Amino acid sequence: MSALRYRWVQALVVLVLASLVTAACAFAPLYVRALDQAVVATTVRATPAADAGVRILSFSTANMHVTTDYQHQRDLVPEALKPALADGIPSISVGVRRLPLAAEPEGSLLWRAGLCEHVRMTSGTCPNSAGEIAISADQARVYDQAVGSTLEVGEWDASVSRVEVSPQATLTVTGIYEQVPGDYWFGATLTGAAAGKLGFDTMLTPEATLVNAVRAPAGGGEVYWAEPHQGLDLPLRPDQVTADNIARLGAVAKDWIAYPLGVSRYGSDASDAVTVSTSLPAIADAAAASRGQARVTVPLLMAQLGLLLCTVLWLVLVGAADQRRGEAALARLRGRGSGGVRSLLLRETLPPIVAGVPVGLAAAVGLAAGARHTLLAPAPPAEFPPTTAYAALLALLVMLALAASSVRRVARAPIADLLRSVPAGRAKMVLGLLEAMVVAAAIAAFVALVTGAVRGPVGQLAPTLLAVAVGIVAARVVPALLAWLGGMALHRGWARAATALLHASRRSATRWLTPIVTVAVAIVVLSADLFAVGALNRQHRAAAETGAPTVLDLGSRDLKAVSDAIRAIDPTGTSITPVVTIDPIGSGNTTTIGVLPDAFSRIALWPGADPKSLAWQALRLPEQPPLEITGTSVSYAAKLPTVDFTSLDPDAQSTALSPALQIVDAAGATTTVPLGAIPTDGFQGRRSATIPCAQGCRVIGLGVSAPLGAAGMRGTLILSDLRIDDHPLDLGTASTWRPSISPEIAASDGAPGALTLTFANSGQTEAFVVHESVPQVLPALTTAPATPAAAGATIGGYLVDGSDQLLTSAGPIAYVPGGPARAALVNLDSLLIRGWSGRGSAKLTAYLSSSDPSAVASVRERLTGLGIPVTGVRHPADLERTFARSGAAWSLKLTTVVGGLALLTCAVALIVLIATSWRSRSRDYAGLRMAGLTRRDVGLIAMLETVPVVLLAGGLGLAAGLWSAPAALPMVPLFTTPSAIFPPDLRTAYGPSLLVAAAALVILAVVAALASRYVARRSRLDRLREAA
Amino acid sequence: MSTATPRPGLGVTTVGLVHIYRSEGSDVAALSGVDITVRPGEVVGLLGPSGSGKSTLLALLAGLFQPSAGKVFVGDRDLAALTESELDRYQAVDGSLMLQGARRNLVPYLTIRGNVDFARQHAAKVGDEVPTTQEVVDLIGAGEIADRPLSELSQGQLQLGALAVALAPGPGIVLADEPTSALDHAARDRILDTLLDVNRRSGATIVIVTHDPDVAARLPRTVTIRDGRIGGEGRLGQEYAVVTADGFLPLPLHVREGLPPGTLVRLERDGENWRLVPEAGGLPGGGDDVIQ
Ligand SMILES: Nc1ncnc2c1ncn2[C@@H]1O[C@H](COP(=O)(O)OP(=O)(O)OP(=O)(O)O)[C@@H](O)[C@H]1O
Ligand SMILES: [Mg+2]
Repeated sequence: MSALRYRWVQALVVLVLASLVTAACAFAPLYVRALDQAVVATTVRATPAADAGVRILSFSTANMHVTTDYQHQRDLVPEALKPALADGIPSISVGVRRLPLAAEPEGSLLWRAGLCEHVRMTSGTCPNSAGEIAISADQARVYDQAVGSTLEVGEWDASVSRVEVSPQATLTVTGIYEQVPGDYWFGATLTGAAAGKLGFDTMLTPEATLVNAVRAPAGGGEVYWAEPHQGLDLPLRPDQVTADNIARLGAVAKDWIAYPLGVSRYGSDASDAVTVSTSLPAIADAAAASRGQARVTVPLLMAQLGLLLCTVLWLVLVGAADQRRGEAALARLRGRGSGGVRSLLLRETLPPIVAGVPVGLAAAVGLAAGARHTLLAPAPPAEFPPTTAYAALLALLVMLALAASSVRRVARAPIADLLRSVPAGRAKMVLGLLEAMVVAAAIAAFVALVTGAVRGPVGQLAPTLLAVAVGIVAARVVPALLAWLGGMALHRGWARAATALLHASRRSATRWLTPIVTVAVAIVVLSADLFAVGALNRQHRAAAETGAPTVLDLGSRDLKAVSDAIRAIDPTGTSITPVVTIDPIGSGNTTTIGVLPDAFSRIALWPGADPKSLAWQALRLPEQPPLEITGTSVSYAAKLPTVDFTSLDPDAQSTALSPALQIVDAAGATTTVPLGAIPTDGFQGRRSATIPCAQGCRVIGLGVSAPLGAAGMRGTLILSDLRIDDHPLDLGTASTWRPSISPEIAASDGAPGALTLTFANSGQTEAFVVHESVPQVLPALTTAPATPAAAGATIGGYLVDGSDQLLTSAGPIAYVPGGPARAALVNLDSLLIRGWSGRGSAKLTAYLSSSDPSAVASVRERLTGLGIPVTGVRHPADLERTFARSGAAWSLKLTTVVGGLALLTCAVALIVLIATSWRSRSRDYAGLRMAGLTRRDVGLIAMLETVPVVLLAGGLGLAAGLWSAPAALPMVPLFTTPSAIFPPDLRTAYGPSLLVAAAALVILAVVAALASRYVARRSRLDRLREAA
Repeated sequence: MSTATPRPGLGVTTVGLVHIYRSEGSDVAALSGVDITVRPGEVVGLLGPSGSGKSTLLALLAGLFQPSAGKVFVGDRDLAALTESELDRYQAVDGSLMLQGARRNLVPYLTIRGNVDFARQHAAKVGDEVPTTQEVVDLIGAGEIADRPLSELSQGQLQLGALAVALAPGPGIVLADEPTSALDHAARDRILDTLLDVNRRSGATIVIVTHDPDVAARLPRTVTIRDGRIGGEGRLGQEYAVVTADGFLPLPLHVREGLPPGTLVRLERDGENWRLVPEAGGLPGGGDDVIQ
């Protein structure tokens, strides 16, 4: 105890270090746990309520008892899920069709518990008795159903296909509803069909309408609806989903989805009629993936810190033992033996170590609380998982082992050695055996990591092990270097520098200081690099996956209108450009993306890629200009010698066929215009017809059209002197028309001004030669997965109208900003040639070069003004935020804690080392003062003695950090799931790393300078004491 | 005064003791054949010039390390044959070494009482009977300084403390390396008195290394070490040369001045005495030296 009092500073330092070691160990499980909770909470919150919740749907075909009653549905919920689900919202719906049956629309009747609270009645009242309904405003308008009117319906369903024999009802409209959006509706949209005249919107009705008996068909008494669809929507209670139960919830939900009525009834009719849907399994999977990643990154980071802390603690303990050589000698002299010496030494270091454990544990809890609030917003609940206690225990055991090993040397030394005071070591370049082994092992571990031979704990320690190796070697090299520099300085006559350097080279503190600063700076650099690479990747991936600083989702399905509007807003294509994305029908096929090459290459974001290097010139349009016509009538001369039929059946032989034009009208619709019937038994003369081209059309095909069901025919049609509204139209030569193989048709040149079509339609109604302005094979820039193996080979693509189009790869592209992995980038204008008829699955977007809200708002306003509604606005920052709220990103945020603690540890070690060398330093400085140097000079020498060492060692640490970061990075997950298009960019972030390293070096240099100045100041006082 | 029965003094016999310090550059022969016998309860001073090997001999007697050759017997123990724990016990209880320089014997942050405790504790554990701390403090008459911090004590008081520590286990032999150097006369006498008093009272054997002729004069027997060998003996200040086991006779320094190396001498018997006669034609003025 008196020893503790005597060396209280040392005891305090040991206590602080012990608590830091404990804190580093105990913090990891606390943080991982908090991170688990945050991941689960965020994933749950990010999932739409309708998806996260459980939806049970059933219909009654097979088993009335199981499926018709939502009470039974409630019983199906597995016990394990019940606590996590709120009270279910039951619903019943019945598909109906208006009577009398004609081309009348279908719709559905829906009851949902409490629905009246989730709609606004714009007129009338919410229905409350059997037979009453509320309808949407669109339906009322489009189908002319006023409040108070009645509606006759019959049940209509896939399984009740004959409406004549299905239950019927007379419904009275009591009100017009407007859906109030909210989680209540579980993602259901009630309206939309009526507006497009596609059918009734959902009609709302009380439960009685759907469960009471209704009219049997043909006036035959009463029946019940045959196929009411029962639904029970159980919202998830987010507060009931935790890191502990999510895995179980996910597994139970997964089983339940697979076997809604249990395994025993799998495959029965009844279970086929019940479906359960929820994304709980997906949430569980995402949470598990995130947790797995945290378990890689967090230990990786904490291991570096732990290694540094243990090294520093060990050095301090060894220093403490060394300081007590005298006492150890006395103990041996009094017959205590080496065991007695060991316990004597440990009695001084163990109490602060043991005391440090609870302090460190408390610090870890505090640190975790801070991290929860600052790094993991919104803060997950405070918890104390048992692993924290185990981690603290582990820390204690490691520290006890360190303490035991730290006293070994002194305890084992012969008394004679202990009695001698330690001679000042000379700067030796030669490594000790132990050091050489540590260096070899560290380098081996690092090489194994770089070559990918190790992962796991060894791999995680490897980065710092490398720094340790560098530090140990540096501890030998730096003093020698300082001695050499000192010699040089002496030679030049720089007395102060020489004195300082020579002192530093002799100082044992220098040898300890070097590896610590090296390791600490390496950790700081590694942390900074991981942090920066993580942030940069999130930013770049968000940019690549969003596509542009701002992406507007457009509510229009008219590519021409959109591209015209955008060209009107920005004719030069510098700030906004249209992008059309046409998804393939099947998965695994190529998505066609149409862009305006120049504008797109300027406006889109291309992180990690160079748009200028792409083969844009290959996306040219066909050279043939389109054949445009304007007018309402067409006349022409035709000659058709008798055609041959493939069938001898006279009934199948058509008596006429008609020449036809394939046109794209002003609205963008592709249509076939027959140009008047011509007898098939030989004809020569003029014909005329009307064409829908008052606003202008583009001719894309020329051919023949035969009546439906006609037998195949073979013949030659010669067209000439074609006039549109009496203006002659040159059809061009045969080379402007591309033949087709099936049905077979080709153009050839006849007399000047005449075009001969030779056809063999083999039964198809239409056969066309295609105008050369319509590309046959579209050149595309293709991503690697979409590029065919053989050069020049074609791949299937899609046009905006959903029809197939052959594409060839005209060049590679790393990725299409905002596109999927398998994408072909084509010229948007070449897609426009065929027009757009609203089919297919094309998405229209506008890419903006600016994310400035006012610029976005003004573009949005102008687009809306031009009739193009904007349905969504996306920025890379939104996506980046999502990436940042993941286990991977949160784990990486820990680099700030680790880097900071490494710096702090190093600063503490610096102060301790400088302070423990105080006695020898102040003796030296006192000597210098007596030799006549001024106080200033001595202060300067004191600083010169430590600061260069710190800077040298720090420089080595920087090198070690920059060297080990690329080795560590492949181990670190940056995202929960890898990007489909943006490969992680693991290159060292030199800028941030160097900046942080520089800051760290400045801080350490200042600490070293202040500490040595303080020691220098006290040198006079000490000299007096030594003399006494 | 002591409740513990005093441990009987331990005799010492060394046979052909050689010690060579091996260090990086060169080997130093600190002792080159020392035969010395100290009877139990005897008080012996070790004299000799600096670097002659006095401290080395003391360390060997204390069992701090093993001699390069030769044997050390203390009491009935052959120090070289002891196991580690036996050696620990010897150092804890029987053989007490007092290092040169008072501070080196004291744990800096303990008082004299604390230091005596520190030394006593282990001895009490392994030894049969050990005086109490108070007894030791009283023995050296250090009651009033026993509880003061060491930093407040004078050099003499510190030396007294170091002596107290050495006496703590009630040892059979006290090996004191220059206990009186750097002390004023009063302090020196006090230390010496205490040592002689302890010897008288408990019968402990005492070996004192000293440079001080005044101290040497008060000791009943002195042994002079020279170049790692026994160079002479003294009895209460009177110097004698000693014939070694193999028949050599090291000449005292002052005699050597008159007889440079290479001088031929004859030994002649003269009744009870022996006469040492340099060969004629030798050095001028060569007188007759008598050896008793
Ligand atoms: N640890 C050691 N390593 C090498 N040589 C040593 C060591 N200790 C002593 N010596 C040498 O052994 C010789 C005897 O030393 P020792 O200390 O025994 O002499 P001493 O008689 O006690 O001298 P002093 O009167 O100065 O204390 C000297 O030459 C000394 O330099
Ligand atoms: Mg000596």
